[in-house]
Amino acid sequence: MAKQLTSSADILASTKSIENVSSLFHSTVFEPNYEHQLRDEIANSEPYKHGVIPKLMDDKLLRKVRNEIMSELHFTKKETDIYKVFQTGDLANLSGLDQAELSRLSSLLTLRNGLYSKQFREFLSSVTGAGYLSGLKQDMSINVYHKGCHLMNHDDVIGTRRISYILYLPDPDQAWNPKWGGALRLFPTVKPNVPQSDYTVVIPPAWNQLAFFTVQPGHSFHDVEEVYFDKPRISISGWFHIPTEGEEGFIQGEKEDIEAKSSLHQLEHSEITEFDYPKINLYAAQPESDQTEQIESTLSEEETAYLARFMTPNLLDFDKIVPQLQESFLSASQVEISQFLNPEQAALVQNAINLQDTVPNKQLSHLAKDVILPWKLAAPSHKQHYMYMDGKSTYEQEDNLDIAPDYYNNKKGLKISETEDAFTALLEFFNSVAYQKWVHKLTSLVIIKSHVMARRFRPGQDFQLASGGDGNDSDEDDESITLEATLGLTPTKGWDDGEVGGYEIVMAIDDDADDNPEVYKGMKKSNSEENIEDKREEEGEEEGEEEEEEEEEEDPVLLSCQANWNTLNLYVRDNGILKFVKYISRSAPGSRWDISATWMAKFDGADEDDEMADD
Amino acid sequence: MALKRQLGLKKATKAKKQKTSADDATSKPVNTVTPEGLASEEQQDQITIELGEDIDAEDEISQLVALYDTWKKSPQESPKPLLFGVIHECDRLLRNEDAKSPLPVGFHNIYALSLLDMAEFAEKSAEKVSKKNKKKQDKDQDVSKPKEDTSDAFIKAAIERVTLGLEKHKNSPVLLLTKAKAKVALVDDMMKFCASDARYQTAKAAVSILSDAVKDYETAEKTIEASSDSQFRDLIDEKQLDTVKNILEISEALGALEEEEEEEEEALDSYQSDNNNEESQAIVRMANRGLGEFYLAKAYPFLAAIEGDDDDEEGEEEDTAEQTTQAKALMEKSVEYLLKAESEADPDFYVVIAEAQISLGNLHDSDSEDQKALYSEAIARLHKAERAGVGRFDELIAELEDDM
Repeated sequence: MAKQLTSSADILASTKSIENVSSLFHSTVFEPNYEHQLRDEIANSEPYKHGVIPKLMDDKLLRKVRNEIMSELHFTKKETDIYKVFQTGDLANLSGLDQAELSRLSSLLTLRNGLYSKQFREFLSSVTGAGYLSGLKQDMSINVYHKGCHLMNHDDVIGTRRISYILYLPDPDQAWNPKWGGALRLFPTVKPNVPQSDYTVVIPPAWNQLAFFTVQPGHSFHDVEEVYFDKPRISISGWFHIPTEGEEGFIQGEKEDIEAKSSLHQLEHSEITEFDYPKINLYAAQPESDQTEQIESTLSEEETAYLARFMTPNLLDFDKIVPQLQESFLSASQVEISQFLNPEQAALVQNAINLQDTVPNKQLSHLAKDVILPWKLAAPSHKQHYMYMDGKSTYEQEDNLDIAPDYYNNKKGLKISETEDAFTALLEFFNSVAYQKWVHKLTSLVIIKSHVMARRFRPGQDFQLASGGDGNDSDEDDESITLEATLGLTPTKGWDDGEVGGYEIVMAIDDDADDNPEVYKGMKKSNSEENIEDKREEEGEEEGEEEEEEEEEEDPVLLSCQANWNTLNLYVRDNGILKFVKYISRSAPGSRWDISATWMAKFDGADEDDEMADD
Repeated sequence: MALKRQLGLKKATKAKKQKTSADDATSKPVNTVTPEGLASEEQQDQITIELGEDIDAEDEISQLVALYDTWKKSPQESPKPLLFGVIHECDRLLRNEDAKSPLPVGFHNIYALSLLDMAEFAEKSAEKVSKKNKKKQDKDQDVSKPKEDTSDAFIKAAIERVTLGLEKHKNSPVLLLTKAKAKVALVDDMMKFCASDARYQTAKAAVSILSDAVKDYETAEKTIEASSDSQFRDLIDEKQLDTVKNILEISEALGALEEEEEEEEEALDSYQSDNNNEESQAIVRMANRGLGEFYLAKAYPFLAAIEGDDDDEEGEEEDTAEQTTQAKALMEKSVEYLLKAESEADPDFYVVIAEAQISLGNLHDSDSEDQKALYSEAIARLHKAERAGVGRFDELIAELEDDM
């Protein structure tokens, strides 16, 4: 837990002790005309109010600060589904430092006091029109984005934050090249709480530059572009909060009001699903009402031949291999089968994928408009961003549960390349009665409803943040079971160490958490190899304020699969499971490709252990 | 089998954790199944070592031969458990060796061949040279540091084994052939994993080793030809013999390169046109690679001198121009041969070619069409290498693209 040894009185005293605040800043900042100019710029800014001050601090002071950071602070890598960044450990929040620590960071302390000085707060308040800012609640942390680091789209809305800021400290003697990445990118919204897929403003880092914006619930969506080169992007970032009691501009009840709005916003944030694509609406696996009977029946010779076109021959050995797999699956509720497609089919699919996968990463468009049918773009961008193909020819059709995939129409109406053709065949295969019969033999589960899609996660842009998924369909009876499968079809190598992302993690949500847990709660304090950290740490806020739970927690990671070739992972998804696909670095060897299936199924077998099954 | 309704992944994991003992509590509950693995499990339990009718089941050396044959006939996808078995058995026989009845040729031969087989599965001698900046060469990073369990350690152990065997069985053609084969393997290993700036020295060392191998081979060949005894042939797999012979033909050519380059290149061309089967193609590729790397090694001192001349004074411009001309001629030859050795089966080699193309490109005028074309070809190869998991070259690629 971060120490909170610096009292409010100390802070007040230290900020007052600066006699000439202006001397800490660049000479241009407090020039009379500049405030007007900046105010106008911010007022006219899009997609939401934001500002950039190209030269903020006195250059000498900032160089000293950078030297202190480089020599005195230790950074550790933190990674979750939403970010990868190097942060100072318990120094993340400077409010928590004791005097001894602060003495080694005297320039940093001076900088902090300058930023939270009355003069600069009034300046910021004036140019943004955000209202009064607290000088006591200081909230800043130091981050280093090394090559591969990134932060996905979010809106910064937490607690009493009023203004977000980033002060950049890259190498002062080598201008930051925008090609190196690390830019702050701003996203407009489709409607409040729903960011668009494409960013419209890009602010690359620059020495001594301050970028800032008013925290606007439902609007202030932004991300940090991946750093592509081996150049450390160092920044001091933080927030100005609303005034605390006793400060100028304090309004009784405002804190509670804002915090309540913030909580409500968080709730809405996760509940608005109208613009979420893909829709994991499960459509009836087969239109016939007697499908259960059909699936339980034995595979016909024709069906076996159809399966053999796709699957490794051993997987059709129903006397020996399938029973072994079944035993394995029934005990663990999960099985991983490598070499799933037979060599001929695998070669065919690989060749088809390579046709598109060999395009160099930098030549891939990042614009939503360039994702064309039969591919569609997963959205919104604060939840997911990847290409998918589900056999339905429009986004709208996804809303209609009764319409099964219309592959035929796809073929007729759309320009289908060899790649899409191969995927269409695989989607048809996964949706076939024959395959469902095979799944039944392996799992003793009869598939009732189904959603199958091909996915492509492109380097430098795609990801799926942790989500709870649909789980069991509430409309159905309690006997329904959610079965999920991922067939890895990534033809390239070089993913095993996870450095370029692209891995899929299935993890457990803490059972003791609230009934409606925020996504991050399931990730708290994991010691797993993926180093999943408490997502809140990214915000750098509550560390000094909240008590940490002392008890040892179990590793929440249930399954961890790197992007792979031709491996099927099949598991039963019970309640309290989160799943995500980590952002793919632009330096990945290619895209992550897979087939992702969600099935609603019913158990077909005499329950020998009702107690265990009572769920 | 009694069926049970599935608990779900989370509950199943919890249930399993309760049952799992403390020492493996950290393992992930992943059930990994390979269809082939399932099928072969049973087979692995039932490995049968076939002994020929004329072999005495009590004769330990015959059993060793049979065990080794079984290994050679197996798919050889991994060293377990047959190859380990052979080596284990060799160790045991060696421990129990009686000074009065020394172990026969066959023992030393099989021990050495097994060690060579092990080298195929061992970690490679050094990390590949790859992320080299096209203009800077970090000498410290590229230094090979052999480890005990690396491929070269196994190869050297094999050479040591046949050398010890030859002390007891002087001029045994079988052991000489295996020694030659091991030396060729050593050179192959050295060339594959040598640092780019160590190529010249490595190539020189390789020529000397190959020259020794050729002598071993020639001695063996003479003994076999002079002997009417068919016992040697019984111990030598024909295919092995051919491979050794073929490789040595090329090696011989390489060994003489410094004196008569053109002649040897013609010999290679002639060999190439006479041998079109798959095995010969592999040998031709290897020879081309050898030639390409030989020219690369010869060009290296010029490249280093040109690189070092960056800050030199104007008076040396003429020298530099001359060095550039020589370096360019050698690098063009090098790239020509390296391209002939290119193969999808060896993605690591894409990087070697790309580096050579970049070096050659650097010798051309900045922004010239020749330079752009070479960089462009290098970039394409680096992309291919990335896709095959050889390494990450994004920064190098970006730097090249900037220069185009």
